[in-house]
Amino acid sequence: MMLLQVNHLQKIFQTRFSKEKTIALQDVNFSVEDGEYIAIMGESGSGKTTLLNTLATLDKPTSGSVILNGHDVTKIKENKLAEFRREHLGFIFQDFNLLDTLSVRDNIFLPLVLGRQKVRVMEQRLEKLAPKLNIADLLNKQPFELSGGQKQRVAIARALITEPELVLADEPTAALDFKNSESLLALLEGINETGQTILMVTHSAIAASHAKRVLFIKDGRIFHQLYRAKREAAEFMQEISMTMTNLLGTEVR
Amino acid sequence: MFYVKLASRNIRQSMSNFLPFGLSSVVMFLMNLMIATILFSPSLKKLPGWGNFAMLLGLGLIVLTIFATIFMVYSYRFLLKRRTKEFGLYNILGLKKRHIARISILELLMMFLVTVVIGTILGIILAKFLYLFLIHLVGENYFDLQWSPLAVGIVTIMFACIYLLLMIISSCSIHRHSSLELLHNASKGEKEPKSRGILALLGIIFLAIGYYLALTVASPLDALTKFFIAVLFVIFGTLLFYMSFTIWLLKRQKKNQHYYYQPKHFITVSSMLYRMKQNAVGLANITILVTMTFVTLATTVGLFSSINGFLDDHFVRNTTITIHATEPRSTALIEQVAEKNGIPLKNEISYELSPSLIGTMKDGTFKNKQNLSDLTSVNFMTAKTYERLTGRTINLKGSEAIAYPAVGSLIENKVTFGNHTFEIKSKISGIRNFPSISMTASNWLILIVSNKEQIQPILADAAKAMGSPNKLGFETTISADMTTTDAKTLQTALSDYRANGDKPIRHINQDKKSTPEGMPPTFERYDDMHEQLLSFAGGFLFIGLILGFTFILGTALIIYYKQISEGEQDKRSFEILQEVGLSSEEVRQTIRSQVLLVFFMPIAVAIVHFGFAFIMIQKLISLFGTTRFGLLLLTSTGTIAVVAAIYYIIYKQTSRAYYRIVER
Repeated sequence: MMLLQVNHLQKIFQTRFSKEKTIALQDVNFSVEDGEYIAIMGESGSGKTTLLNTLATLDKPTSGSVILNGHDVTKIKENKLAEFRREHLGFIFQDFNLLDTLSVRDNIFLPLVLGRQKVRVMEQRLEKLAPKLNIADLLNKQPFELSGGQKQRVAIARALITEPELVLADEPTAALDFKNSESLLALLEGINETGQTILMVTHSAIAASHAKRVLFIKDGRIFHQLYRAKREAAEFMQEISMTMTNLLGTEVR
Repeated sequence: MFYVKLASRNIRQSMSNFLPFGLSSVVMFLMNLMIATILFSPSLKKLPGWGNFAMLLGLGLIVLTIFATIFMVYSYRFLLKRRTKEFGLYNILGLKKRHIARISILELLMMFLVTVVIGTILGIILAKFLYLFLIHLVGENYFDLQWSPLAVGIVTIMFACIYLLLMIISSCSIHRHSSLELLHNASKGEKEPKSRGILALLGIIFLAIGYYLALTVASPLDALTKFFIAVLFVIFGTLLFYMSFTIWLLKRQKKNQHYYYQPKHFITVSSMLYRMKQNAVGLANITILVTMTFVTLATTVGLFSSINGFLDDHFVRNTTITIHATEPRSTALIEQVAEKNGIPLKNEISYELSPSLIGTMKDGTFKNKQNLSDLTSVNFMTAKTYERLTGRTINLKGSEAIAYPAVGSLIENKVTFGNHTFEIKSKISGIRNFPSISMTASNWLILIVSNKEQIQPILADAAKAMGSPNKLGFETTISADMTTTDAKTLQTALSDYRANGDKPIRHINQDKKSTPEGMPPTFERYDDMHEQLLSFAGGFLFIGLILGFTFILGTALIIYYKQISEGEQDKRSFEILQEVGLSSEEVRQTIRSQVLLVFFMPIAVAIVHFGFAFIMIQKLISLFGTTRFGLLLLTSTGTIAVVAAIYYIIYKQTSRAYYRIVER
């Protein structure tokens, strides 16, 4: 089943006082099946963050459409956007984005509280989720007491607790050391195996190698994709690295 | 020179940080200078009753200096906190801490010079306007204010000391921190504050003691002494209240899951709780400042506006002459002297009273003991005098008496003086052609008795208690309307006479061999008294308005600092919240309810504080008449309304700044 369809997406930035235009995305087309794990790879400035922001409804495209489960998210009214994000999307950020003012438990509850969910339901969902992410012991701590890896696991719990259709991850391993990165990527893979669709944006070949499919983006265009098929992550990574050096190194016109 | 350049560049570049600090510095300098200029100006000595003013202005200057010091330190620490990152960067880029300290000292030195120059120029100009206002308040017409270099010198030295203190603070804070700490100072994670039940309880107890003191005040003088103790208790109570009680309350709200896990409460409660520790002092300061503004303004406006009523109650006619002699002799003398000088005594009234017995009245028993916190002054009037004054006939037998508690109240039906007890036949609430208020700071009771003889032993006892060898005789008061010149002439003519109780009144030149013993007649004139009171209450109101204005300004700046720093801290949180799924409308609502709470809490607590202070103020002002409760209530609510309105405008303005920072 087709979950997400991106059609002719274009985004042009123009500063208020100059006529100069910056094209961040041009004619981006791709689609995501339900249950897929996709990585979008690109250098900084390639337009991958703009793409993610557009999918996340944090940014409006200049033209084109993003269809999630049959709804065009670019047509959603401004005042319904927050609700849409809360109900259909889950976010994992590079710098975790936990609120210092809330305890770990409350940080995870946050989207459900905003959605006026019942306390009992929140507790039940957390009970199921916490052991999987290995955060059951951390629930009563404050975010500043946690390590980076722990923080990111809490952030994942917050993304998953709403049972979203699509989880969007923005460089989830960028702020982590190698060991923590590895275990986090394994964790995301495991989550994907339970049927959760994940879309990740990254510039790291290691991170991308855990996905089922990798899209390459440069100068605002998707120009290549690789399937992992049955390969091991290490093997897949070599191909990704090679593609990066070969394709991204050359000028794309 | 390099450092000077760096320092001046810093100031120019981070104007948004330096501007509020510079503004508060200049304004504090200005307020101090204006008061000092008026205080040290030779022009002040030309005002009638300038001694009173000088004292009040001096007091005001002391209060303002203390306030300015506290306030400048507060502003500067805010500035310093926002600049630690910049200093950290300098340190990493290779400047020694000694050099950074030098830069910050140079910055302060520049701010100081700017303050003195701008403050002096503005101060000299504005002091003139302020002086005009003062002159207007006290009803004078001497409008020229000479500026005084002495005032500028004193205020400059005062501020040099304050800036020296700031330099010490800045050097200490720079040396205490390592460079990495300097870089990260702004972003430190904090544990949720613990609720300390004992402190919360202590805060409530302190407030209760302060309130209790206010409630149990018995007399004006009592209020004066207790006022400062009560104020201290309330200040500490308020601080503890915010530091612990609010945290305790928020924690309780958090424990209640069904309340806490609602979008509206969730964010507000958690962020309030998180911030309460650093907020407590700021909120307590705001509360105390607002309360101080209420109290100062209500007291001084109340005092000023009760002058006329007070004088109307005290003066039955525009001139009052008191003679220490019996009535027939006194009236005969006055009428004779007046006639000789061709002065008409219009609407003449005279009455005879016993001298005032001043002591304490407890459970209907009078004691010749002077306890400053609870004084009662008693005068006796004969039934004959009362009948003549009012035209009514009364029938008093034996030790029956009629009581007129002019100031204060009398509950008992018996009043005992030593061995003598009077049965109170009835109580009255006024006597025609007789003042309803005295000049002494005490309760005032008039007892109407059947004859003079029965109170002689009481007067003898009082004389003994006062250590006076002479018997206390009755005094006569004669009131009449006359022109100012006539009153002056009459006063001069009468000043040569000596009255001495039951002995005949004598002229000093009557007997060449010796000057007769006794006292000359005393004069009280409505206009003189009005001028004196106006200069006193006007001076009070003047200082009150200046202090009130400064307090409100202080509050404004504290709120501004709070909003800006909170806005910056919250910027990131609100971004995250919106990404996770909080709509911009909900953001606005959350901010509104959060800010509204912070806005209304100090006002609400201040109004409660003021409610209790009102009882004390009312006692204090009852020196000027008890009947003006309504007027005081009116001026108080007026003051609260005005202050709240100003506070609201400040809040609106600063909230806007907050939105601007937070909005995505």
